[in-house]
Amino acid sequence: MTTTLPHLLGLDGVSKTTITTILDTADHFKLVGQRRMKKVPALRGVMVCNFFVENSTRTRLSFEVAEKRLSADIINFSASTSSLQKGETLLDTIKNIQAMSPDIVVIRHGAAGVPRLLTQHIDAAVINAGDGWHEHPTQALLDMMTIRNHKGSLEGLKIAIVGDITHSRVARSNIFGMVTMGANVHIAGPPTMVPAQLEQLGVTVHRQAAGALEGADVIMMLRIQKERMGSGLFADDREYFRFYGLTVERLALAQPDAIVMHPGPINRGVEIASEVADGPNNVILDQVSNGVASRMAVLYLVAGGSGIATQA
Amino acid sequence: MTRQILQGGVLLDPASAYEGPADVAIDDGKVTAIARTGDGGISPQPGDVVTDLDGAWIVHGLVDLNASLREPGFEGQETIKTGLAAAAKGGITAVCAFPDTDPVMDSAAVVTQVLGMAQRANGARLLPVGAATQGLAGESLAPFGDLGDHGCLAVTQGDTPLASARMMRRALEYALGFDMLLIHHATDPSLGGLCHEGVWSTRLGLAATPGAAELIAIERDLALAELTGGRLHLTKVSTAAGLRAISIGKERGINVTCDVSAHHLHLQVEAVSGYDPNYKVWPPLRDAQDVEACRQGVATGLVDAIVSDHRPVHLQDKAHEFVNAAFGISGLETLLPLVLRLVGGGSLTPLQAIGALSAGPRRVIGHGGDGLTLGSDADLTVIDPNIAWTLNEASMVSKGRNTPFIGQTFQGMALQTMVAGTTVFTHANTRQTA
Repeated sequence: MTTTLPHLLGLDGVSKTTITTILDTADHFKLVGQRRMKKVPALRGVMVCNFFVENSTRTRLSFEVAEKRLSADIINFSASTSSLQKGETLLDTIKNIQAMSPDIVVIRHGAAGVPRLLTQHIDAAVINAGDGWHEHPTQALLDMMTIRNHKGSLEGLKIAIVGDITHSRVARSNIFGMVTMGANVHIAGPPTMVPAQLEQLGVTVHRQAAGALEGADVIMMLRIQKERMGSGLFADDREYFRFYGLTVERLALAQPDAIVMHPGPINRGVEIASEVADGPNNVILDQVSNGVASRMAVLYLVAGGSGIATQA
Repeated sequence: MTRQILQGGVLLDPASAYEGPADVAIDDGKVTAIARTGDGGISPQPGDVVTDLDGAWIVHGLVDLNASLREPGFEGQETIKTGLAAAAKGGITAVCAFPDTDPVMDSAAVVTQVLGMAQRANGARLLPVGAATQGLAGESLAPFGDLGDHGCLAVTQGDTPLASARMMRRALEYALGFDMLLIHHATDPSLGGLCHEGVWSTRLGLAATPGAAELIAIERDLALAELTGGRLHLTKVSTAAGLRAISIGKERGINVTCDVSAHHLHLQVEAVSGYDPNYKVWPPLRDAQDVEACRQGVATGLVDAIVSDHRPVHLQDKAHEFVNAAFGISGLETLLPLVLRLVGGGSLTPLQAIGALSAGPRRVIGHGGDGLTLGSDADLTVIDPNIAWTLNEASMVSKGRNTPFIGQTFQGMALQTMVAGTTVFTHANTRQTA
């Protein structure tokens, strides 16, 4: 199995074959994760640098667990303790990291395009753990893995994504990936939060949540950031919940066996009602555990793709 | 002083719609004879310096209405000397230097300082454009009269538009009292963003600015120009909708002119898809239909001038994540070549090109706007429209190397640039006889 994956900067333009390979590999690592011995030597001797300029607990932990299970050596670089605080430019920081010759760099940054910039200045393979509003490909991969686990295949599924699309890298990566995999993606959100010409990415845009949710097989609710309220994008929490929140009534519009997803952390009573969050359709915790397996898959394939380590 | 004769060239004079053979004589910094077809040539006298142009174009020198020369204050990015030398290399005989310096060019003292440096630079002429407001802060008017007395033909807010309609109105009215031109980049700052709003800003997750931000600001400025009767020049127009509004404004008799930047005639928003900061410009790159409308506008004369929008920066200021990279392209050396590319590609005739690079801007700013006539200052550009060459960083004269055109091949360049009869740039190939 030799899929060439020199980097994972996003899912925009990534082929169905590649995504399928990643998801199949992730399923394999999920099984490994259910064994007593969860660790494999695939990335032994490989140095992975977690370069998290934008802070993150969950994604970083998920990557670290994945890296450890693959037996990689890890160095962590976070903004708060870094020289970036002392005014060092991003590029100078990157050059310093390059000087340590990591094999793989996992980068999260608040500015779109930084993973691409990294590939121009560093020899390591680059994995995008979230760049501004642009992409968060490993999140979309774990989301698609979760959907596949529950529904068998993404082909032809009606998937509703509801919330603030404009500021969501999770939405973008999922849109790119799910459209490639043949799903029918339906978007709903306040028009102030739906970016221009989104339909040109192959999705259907609805003004009201009902249109997206009707008959949906998968519902993905996006987190509304509190800071966005009162900034001219939306009125308040209460109005958001009334018109776009996933209530029991709105859930009933979807297929009876629809699965409810959320990238986390959830805002109960804003994008999702507590009853739904605690209900049987919710697969949010599956998403979290699938996160480790899908990140293992990406690390493994990227290492193989850049000719670093290939043992499984 | 020695008389010079430029023989055997092809004169392009949009003012008289003449495109044909001509000899030009220059003496004491002035044009003393122009012999067109049928006039008989100009006979060289002993002591004359004769140059055979061998069919190259000869035109009234190019004028650039919008360039930042960075001095005083930002000499690391450009100096007046390097900027005017870069202009000369680009065939430009006069550069309108914007006031976004430090200190801002909002007083006679700074204008005088700048003109002094330009004098010593021996490159293209520097036409200072004063600040419209003190410190460019947009709050109180700068002394237009004093600025005018010391050499400014126009005032501008540079890249920070007058957000208040009241201030814009006052600036237009005040400028009328001194017969000054107000140059304004019309855009609504409250609709700002980094990338033209559309499928690309959506795809890339970049803060978006709609074409409408330009349109509404242009409509506002046109209404105020009509109200006040002021002289308005809208610089760096980039949208089809904006150009349509200006067209209607001109038809209504509003005293408005406009320009587009050379790169907006070629580059589209898709160019930023790799997050390459070399394509980060202000206003941002637009859609195919906007580029086409800009080209059409130049061809029809709706667009009066094409500018370099020269914004040189340290390469290290571009070497950042897209959101933090500096805006701008170092454009003096590619202004003419980019326009010649449109001639080569059939979008513009040679006369239309020279109209937008010379006759048009001269008319707009009021500098040699009567065309190339006897007694004109001998500001001339000799152009070979066919010579093939590649832009490389090492041979650039500007300190600013921030341009996405490095490595590209162009067809056509300036062979010789002359200011007041003095040659300030000559390409190796020009031939001199006698």
